Amino acid sequence: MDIESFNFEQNYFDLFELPVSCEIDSTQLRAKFMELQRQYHPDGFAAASSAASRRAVQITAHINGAHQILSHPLQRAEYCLQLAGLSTDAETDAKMDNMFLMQQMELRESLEDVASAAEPYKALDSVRGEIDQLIEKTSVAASASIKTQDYDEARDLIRRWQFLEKLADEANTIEAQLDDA
Amino acid sequence: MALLQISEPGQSTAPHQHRFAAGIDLGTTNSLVATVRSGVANVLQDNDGEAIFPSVVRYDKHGVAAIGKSAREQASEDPYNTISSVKRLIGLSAEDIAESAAGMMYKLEKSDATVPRISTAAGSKTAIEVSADILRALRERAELSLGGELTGVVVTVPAYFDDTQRQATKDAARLAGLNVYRLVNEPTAAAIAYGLDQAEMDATIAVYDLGGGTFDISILKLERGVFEVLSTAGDTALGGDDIDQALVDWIINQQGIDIGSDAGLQRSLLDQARSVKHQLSSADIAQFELQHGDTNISVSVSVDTFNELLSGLLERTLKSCRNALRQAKLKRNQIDNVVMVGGSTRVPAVRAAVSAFFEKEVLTDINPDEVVAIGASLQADVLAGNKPDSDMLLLDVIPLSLGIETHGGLVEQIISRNTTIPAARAQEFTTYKDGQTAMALHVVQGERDLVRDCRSLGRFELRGFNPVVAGQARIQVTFQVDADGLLTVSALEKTSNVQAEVQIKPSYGLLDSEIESMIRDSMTNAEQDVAARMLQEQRVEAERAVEALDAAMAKDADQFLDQSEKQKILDARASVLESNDTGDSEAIKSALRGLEKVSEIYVSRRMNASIGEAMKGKNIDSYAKQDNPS
Repeated sequence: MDIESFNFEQNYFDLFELPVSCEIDSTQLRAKFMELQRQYHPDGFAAASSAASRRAVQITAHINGAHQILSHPLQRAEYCLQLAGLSTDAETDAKMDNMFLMQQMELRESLEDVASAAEPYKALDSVRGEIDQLIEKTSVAASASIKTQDYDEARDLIRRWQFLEKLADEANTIEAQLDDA
Repeated sequence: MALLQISEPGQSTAPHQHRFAAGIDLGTTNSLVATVRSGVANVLQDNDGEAIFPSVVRYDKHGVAAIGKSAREQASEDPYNTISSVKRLIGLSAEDIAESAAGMMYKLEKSDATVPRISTAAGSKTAIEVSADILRALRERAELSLGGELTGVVVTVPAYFDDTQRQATKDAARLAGLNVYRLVNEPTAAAIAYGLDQAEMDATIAVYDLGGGTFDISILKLERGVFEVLSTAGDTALGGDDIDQALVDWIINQQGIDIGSDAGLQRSLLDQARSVKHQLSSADIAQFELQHGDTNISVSVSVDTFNELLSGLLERTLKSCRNALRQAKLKRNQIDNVVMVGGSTRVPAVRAAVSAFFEKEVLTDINPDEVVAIGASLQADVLAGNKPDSDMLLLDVIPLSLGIETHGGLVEQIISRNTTIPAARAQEFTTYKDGQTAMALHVVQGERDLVRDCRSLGRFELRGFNPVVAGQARIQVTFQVDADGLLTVSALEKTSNVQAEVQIKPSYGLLDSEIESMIRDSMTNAEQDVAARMLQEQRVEAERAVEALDAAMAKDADQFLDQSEKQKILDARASVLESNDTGDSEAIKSALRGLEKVSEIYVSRRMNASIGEAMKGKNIDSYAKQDNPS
């Protein structure tokens, strides 16, 4: 357990011994995550010096953060793009074609109508199904563009994906409201 | 510390020496202590063979007069000096408690102190001190039983406990002379108690914990010896005490009894209710008998009546179950095991309701009162280094989001709820005004968008960075949460390298019910929050625009504008300020647009002049360099 030489600068894929890619072997990610936790978790330093246990906290926090990004498909794609030197911040571009914006508005309206639907859960499931399908399609396309290093295309797709994830979050909020009603 | 104690992490200096470690379940109603001997975890008993230690302390003028079972037995005689359910107060401020103490027997001192004090015959006591007295008694029981001093303990806390409540619990343990290896969430400890023997099995587990004073539902994942908390939810003001109270209320109603201010009668009624509840776990009918002064009660209570009294309470727990499943993104049928924790889960109606909800037999193999302490003792044994080959690893999550106050009373979320800990996150902030050299950071915990709806954890100041133009400073704020869920915040001004750090002090904590309602509110109030956020952002934008305009006009208004142009801008400026006092974000927006429009000419004249100024005597090369800062 060499906590002194832990490299915080290493990219997250290297940390988990994975190739840089949008598609990831989640079993390998999980296995390596466990291995790193066993190696560095502060519980292993409960009887060690306070400096060592502080360092262990920093290292595990770093590992947890990296794991969170790699295990979330959208965050992982954003990270791939970031490694390629591109930003996906909301303000960097507003290039959205009208078709897409229209579709977004329609989905948003369908979500707003869920609460007043005759069978709200059914209505919600149907909108959610649509959103999930779009996310699936967009993520596959984004992943393919990253693979072929067509980063401009990838960035546009990821921007759409971000919109769709927001819609999916809204669907969850609506479900919570239905459950609590 | 002696040099000899330095050793490789995870390795003991004297490998053959067994360290005495214990697990403590510090409960609202009852506490327990357990330890591992010869590889087997057992709760430790008193001389009468009782493992359960009531979390009750009675004080007289000499200090602790009675503790545990004897204190509880004497409670009706001396209600004001007998402190129970003190866990409900730990980590809370005096202000918080004014609300929650309504149903408490004991008296709180009126004072300006942030930490509330309970007045007793032994003087005023904080919740931390009372908890420490309980922990000290448990420590004595353990050391007597083990025949040596404890090296360290694991203390359990409700999954919902926030930073200040965790810190207060740790302080109580330290006050009792205990070395805390780790604070562990109660449901996690319960899962450890069940999980160790099946370490090769992967499973998703729901832990339903209906204790004396709190209800928690946690969804955990157990995978090759690693426990991971996927989500937690609950109702922190709901438990067996409420079942007793519901029964007492029913009796009072039915018999037309007036308790008045007779605290002793209230106690006796609760004691009798508890006994009836226990009888109804195995009988269809029980007799509520009580003689107290002039009051004579004899009522038979059927199990059907009792279950009816319970139904509202059970429904509230199931609502939390649905919430926890949703957060874990799981369906009911994806739960492999349901672990029952807490004495109240002995009530057959509770078991039946939970079993029906999850469509599954619930686990009750381990005594539900003891399961948390047993799990804690297993973890303590590992952390003490008594099991060097152990593969067990306990991963936990943070129960409430952490954030920082930004302009206009908005919260910038930094670490969101249910993130695996330890966790750290850095976020960059910038200055708001030209020449700003100091910055105050306000750390909050909660799920809402506005600071006033979240819990304030602490404030700290960062001073002495170089005065630069607004927006140019780069202040990196790092939040770090350790394995116990305790927070440290540090801030670094990156251009001048000024560093500040704060350890959150337990000056106050969240009201028990506040945490739960904060989470609930974050869902139902999402819409309201969006509107409030928009208004606040609009206001900040308007203030900024006016400030920038004023700064520019003070410098060169007369150079670029004639009198009528100047007047138009000033009028538009006035209407922006006016609209900013209203609560209407649309009005602010349109006033701002008006200001922008009349200022256009001024802005473009200034810009042309400054470009002209900048181009004087420079060649193309120096621009290229500027394009590429740092």
